[in-house]
Amino acid sequence: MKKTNHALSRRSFLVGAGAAVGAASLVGGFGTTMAQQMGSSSPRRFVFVLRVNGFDSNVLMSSQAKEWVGQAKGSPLRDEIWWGTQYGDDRGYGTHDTTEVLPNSLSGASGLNALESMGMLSRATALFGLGSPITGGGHSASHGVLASARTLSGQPGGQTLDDFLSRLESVRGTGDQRTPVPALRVGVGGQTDGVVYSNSASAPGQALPTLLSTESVWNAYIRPLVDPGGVDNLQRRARLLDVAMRDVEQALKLNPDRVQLQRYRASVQAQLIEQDIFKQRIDDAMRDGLSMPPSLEQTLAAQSPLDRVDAQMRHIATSLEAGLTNVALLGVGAGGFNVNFGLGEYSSTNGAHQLCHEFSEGMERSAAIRQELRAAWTRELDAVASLAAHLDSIPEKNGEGTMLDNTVIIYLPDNGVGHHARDNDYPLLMIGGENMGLRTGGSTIFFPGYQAGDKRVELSNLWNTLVHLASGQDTSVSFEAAKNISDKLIPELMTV
Amino acid sequence: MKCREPLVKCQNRCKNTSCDDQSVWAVATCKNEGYPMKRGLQVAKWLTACVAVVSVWGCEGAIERTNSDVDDSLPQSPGGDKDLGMMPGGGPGGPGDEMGQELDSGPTLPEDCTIEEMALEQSVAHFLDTSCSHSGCHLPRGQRSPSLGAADLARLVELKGFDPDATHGGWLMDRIDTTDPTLIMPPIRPANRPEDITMLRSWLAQGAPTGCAPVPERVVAKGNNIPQESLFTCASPTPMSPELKRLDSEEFMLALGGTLSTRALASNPLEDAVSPFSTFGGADSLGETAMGIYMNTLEGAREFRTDFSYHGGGGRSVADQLWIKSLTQDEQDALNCIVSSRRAAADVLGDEACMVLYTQQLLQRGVLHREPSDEEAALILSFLRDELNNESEDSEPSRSKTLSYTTEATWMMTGALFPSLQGDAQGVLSVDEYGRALNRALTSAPMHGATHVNVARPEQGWLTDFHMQTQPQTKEQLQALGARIFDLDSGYVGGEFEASLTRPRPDLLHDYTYGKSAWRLPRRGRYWLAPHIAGFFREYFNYEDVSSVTKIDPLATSIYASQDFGRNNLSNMTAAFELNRDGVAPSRPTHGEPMIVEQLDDMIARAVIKAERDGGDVFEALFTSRTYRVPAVISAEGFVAYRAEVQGGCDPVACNAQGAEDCCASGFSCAMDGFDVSGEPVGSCINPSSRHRWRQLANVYHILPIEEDPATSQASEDDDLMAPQLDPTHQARWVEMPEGERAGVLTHPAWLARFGSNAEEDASAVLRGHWVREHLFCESVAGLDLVQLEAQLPVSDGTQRARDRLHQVFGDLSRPAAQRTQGDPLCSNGACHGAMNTLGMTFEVYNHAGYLRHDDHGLTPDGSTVISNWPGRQSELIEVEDATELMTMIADDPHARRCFLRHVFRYFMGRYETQADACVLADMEVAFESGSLLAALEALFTHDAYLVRGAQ
Repeated sequence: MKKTNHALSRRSFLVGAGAAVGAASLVGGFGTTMAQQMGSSSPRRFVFVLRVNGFDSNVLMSSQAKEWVGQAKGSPLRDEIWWGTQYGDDRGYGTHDTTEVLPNSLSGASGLNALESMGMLSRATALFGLGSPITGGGHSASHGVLASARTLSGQPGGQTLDDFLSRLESVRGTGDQRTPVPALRVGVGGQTDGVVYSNSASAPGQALPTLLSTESVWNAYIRPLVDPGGVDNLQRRARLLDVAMRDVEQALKLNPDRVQLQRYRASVQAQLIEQDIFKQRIDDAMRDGLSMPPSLEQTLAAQSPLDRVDAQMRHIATSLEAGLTNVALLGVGAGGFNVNFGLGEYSSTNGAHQLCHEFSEGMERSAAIRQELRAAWTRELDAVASLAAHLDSIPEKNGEGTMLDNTVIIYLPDNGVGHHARDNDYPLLMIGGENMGLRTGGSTIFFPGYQAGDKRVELSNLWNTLVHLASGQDTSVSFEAAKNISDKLIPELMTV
Repeated sequence: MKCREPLVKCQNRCKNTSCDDQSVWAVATCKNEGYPMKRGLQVAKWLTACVAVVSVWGCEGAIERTNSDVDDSLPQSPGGDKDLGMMPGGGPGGPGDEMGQELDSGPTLPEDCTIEEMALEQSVAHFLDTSCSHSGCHLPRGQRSPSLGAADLARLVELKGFDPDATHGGWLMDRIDTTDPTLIMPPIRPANRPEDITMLRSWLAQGAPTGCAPVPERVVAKGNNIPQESLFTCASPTPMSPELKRLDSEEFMLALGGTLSTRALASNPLEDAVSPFSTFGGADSLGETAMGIYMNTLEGAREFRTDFSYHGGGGRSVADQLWIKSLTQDEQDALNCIVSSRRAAADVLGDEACMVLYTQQLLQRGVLHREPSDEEAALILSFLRDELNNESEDSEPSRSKTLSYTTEATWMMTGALFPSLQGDAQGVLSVDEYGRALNRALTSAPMHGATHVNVARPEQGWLTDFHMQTQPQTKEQLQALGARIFDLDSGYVGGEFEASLTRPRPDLLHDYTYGKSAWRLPRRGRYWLAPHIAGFFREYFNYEDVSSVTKIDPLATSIYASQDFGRNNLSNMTAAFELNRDGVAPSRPTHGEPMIVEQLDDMIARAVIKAERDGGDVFEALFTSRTYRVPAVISAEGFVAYRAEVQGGCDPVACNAQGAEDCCASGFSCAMDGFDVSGEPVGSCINPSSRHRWRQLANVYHILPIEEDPATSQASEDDDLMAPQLDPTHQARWVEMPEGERAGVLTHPAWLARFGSNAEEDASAVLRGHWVREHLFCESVAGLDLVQLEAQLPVSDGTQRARDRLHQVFGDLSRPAAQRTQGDPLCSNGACHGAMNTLGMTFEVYNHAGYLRHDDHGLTPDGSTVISNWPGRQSELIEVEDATELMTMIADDPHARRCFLRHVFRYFMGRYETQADACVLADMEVAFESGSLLAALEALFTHDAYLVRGAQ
């Protein structure tokens, strides 16, 4: 299918992508059984949008959901309560010890207007009450949220889910279908250049880099796809890698036991392999076209933090579409969450940190601050919706639905619930992935929290479920001490 | 069957790729992690036991040991790869395979044990390892007795810690299975998890058997958990191991011709963001992901490296060819045979000598900083030849591109990425290795000394100088070279620039972008330290990230909040604090005064250089110097950022009172300048009012504005950057703080703000006390990963001092436990906060932003405390009046001085010290007796253990 390559503004990206939803979703494999999907040749894709320092989960709640919380707690959910205070008390979302599913209950949630306008609410689920006590909460649990481990002094406590998934054959693919990039990790924040190591890890103590510069991301991953010189550049890179390989082989003759060199050689080898696959992907992109690859001008035009979220999301969209990777992580705030959102009087002159402190302080301006902060998080959710709609507009090459049918997108906080967060609730939005056996359906789900003892459901159970759906593996990806908890899958999220 | 997480993580280091029956085999072959089924176990039995076997110890323990192995092996193998990442897929093909690591078959299950028994025993041991033996807690990971690690299990049964015959299960169980907040262990949780208690009880019910599970290797403490005394007791000299030290981000950026703010190079992955010192990244390799980003950066920066427009044009000043500038003119001319684009590729290809000369020079002077091996030279020569051939066929031949690609090829070489400290056959470092090491001890800049602009770099001139002119061959000659480098008079490590320099602070050239930020350079102090020595202090004192801590009402409780100076002044004084801290912020114009971090840089440089020069004690100077570098006021009409007019003085209280008559002329308003010697507020009439803040930058130091001569300000705006250095204000920016107000780095507002809370009534004392305990005393506080409590103070009602709120939760930890009448029982047991709060309380005379408190919620600011756990003086109750007295005590404290040397070792060696380094540390201590940091550095870098490497 030849696609149009034209520049769109952020808003038109949103609307344009949404316009394609209706027809495409009919093709989707909604309700596909697990057995069917295990025989599927479609890649499994995962996109994690990690909101550093979190967001007010109020934006994910419809009036129906708020009403349910009010009833469960015995008192109405108060809008002005700082979300770190559990909406007024310590009981979270009530004292229930069973999972409560509210079907078709996302309509009207303030942060999901874009998704709703695209007719895609049924492709999403909002989850509440998933704790991760090992992470520690705070301003940021860093790698902890995706590792279900504690990051201490910047040192990740374990491998993060994005890295784990990127190493699964069922995710990265094999042979010609293997993606050249294991995972794309990009970020935005106060720092606009450079690399941070705060979100992802390959092992305890082994943090993985996240790229902050939108320009660098474009140059590295988009430019080869749209620049006629992309293939030449890859060939040149192959020559550089050849030099590296010859050199390191020679160095290893002198220092055969030096692990640094062995590791370097392994990396060179991996890159050499990936160059060939990358070239195939470029050829494919040149042949088939890409639906909306961002231009460099678009990328450079994104200056504000929220515009850079859009820009990085576009990079992710194109990378997924071109088959460069099947795992992406966007750290919103990875370069520092204390940014000026510029969405009104207060967020134009104050950093997010200060505004979060004043969110519920009962000051005259608190109501306006809440409005501006929620608008910022809504903008981020708009970008998530745009990505979802974009992927849903692209049929899988093997005819098995759309890309979204095989892609799970998750927007979640990196610290739990609250600005100074507790770790007993990681509210999140999940979209797509039905071909893997993920149940969406526009539900709001409240999981039993800590008051439910062993019946509680934790964030790691969601990770287990995703791994299960992606690979068929029954495994636990958690360092949580309570193994009887952390082994579980979440049947409410599975169609089989 | 469900295998647990640790197995999953093990899969990447072991051979198995799936989690089914094969995992029996997989676990069995995972090194030290699993157990072969040498008995004929039924599959069903295994399926039951697999979970426990793998999860409780096999893999988690192994992961921990993997980390420990890496760190612990550093003395023997400092170059050991920390980047033991996993290959994609995590199965065959991973590094375990590639590296040819032998995977042993693991221990055997004893005949008389079942796998369930083994698993249960391992669960108990795992509990000890993760709950008791921990940094800041019990041996062997911590320092407290008794030792409660997994390896101690059998002994603990013998000692009745676990006693199946006792009613409650033994004296350890008395502390583990309780909810009594005065007894519970670990003492930072209300109760242990029910599942853990059940597991322990099950094991006790079976008679507390040991011997079914293999006894793990005893964990070796590291970092702060090593008893300090043992680190300075030299038993037998141990040479350091040969090592490779990976290039770091700054080195990469400067080597490729950038500055530290060159965007094109900033996205390199060579940063070490997770270690206590940035230098620790030297033990890393380059993983697959990082490798991809590294190459992206090399390629992405191609335009920067080759475009003349980036570098002012002309000559050979493109970034890729900076190294050529370090050659003699004759040498440069000789390279014209290839550098000149006018010479056809075919001609160059026919000129073998020219190509050989170029590759030799490129490698030696531009990249490796040593003689390349034959293989290295041949490799690059071959690459160059290929590129020249391509150039011939290129429709747009470009010699610049050819040479750029060749440069990229050199930066893929291991010699470029992993500079060596391996030594010769006898282990003696070569002069090249040693020269490079000395260079890296002082700076990230490349040894060739050339920069992207044609400016002399006095602090780097020696790099080429000693490398080219000194050719020591023996260990003694190397030592003489090292002694010369660390001799202050040689001018390599620091000094004081003359005011008459043609360019201010050339040592900072790489740090700054051009443009308005350059205004700050001539206003910096003229004392300087070599970049990495300055960097050591920034990292040791951790003040660089002061801007990362948001301050709510930074003026709170200070004298500036003591009276109503009007809303406008309040807003401007708050903005002034942020401007002084952050320099430039969105919506604010840049300004010419150095920021607070730079003010502290300068204060430290002065303290160190003066102490070294005058025979003083550097350590004492760091903690007691009262001479601070402060910002002045640049209010010259015409200075773009500060254009403000001043028209006489005013009373900022009276003039800003509600309904007051105008004190100033129309368009002017009364700015709060500060307080005179009698404590009365002083103001100035300013126009426009938004410029008040420029006069208030130094408020945090509690001083009145120091005004730069308007003509000087104007001249600097007109590019005469030397003018501010010659202005009397340059010297006036050095201000002696009143005795009793501040003393040394830890009472500097930059440090106080960095380690202050968001609000004045919050737990700044905890943050500061924690820092002092761990950084100045090299002791550990139990980590938050054990804490299962609400680690927050109660919501403030606005009336309580921070001190009171802390007492409310923790009790007054300066009192004996029996006398503490307040506090949460779980928090006031002193297990954690006893190590922090009493030290931190001394800083309560300052608020969270570093201002002196003036009125602390109606009371006189109080920094008094009683410290009962001062290292080496545990039997004493040490009364301290406030932080300035604490600083005096620390300056003279032998324990703190030794801890300082440990940090020096860590930063400059790029790893933790171990007991194998005791002789080095002991010799550093001897050298440091006179108080000279440079002498200690010389002792480190000229030590036999450093110069003569042992076995790998």
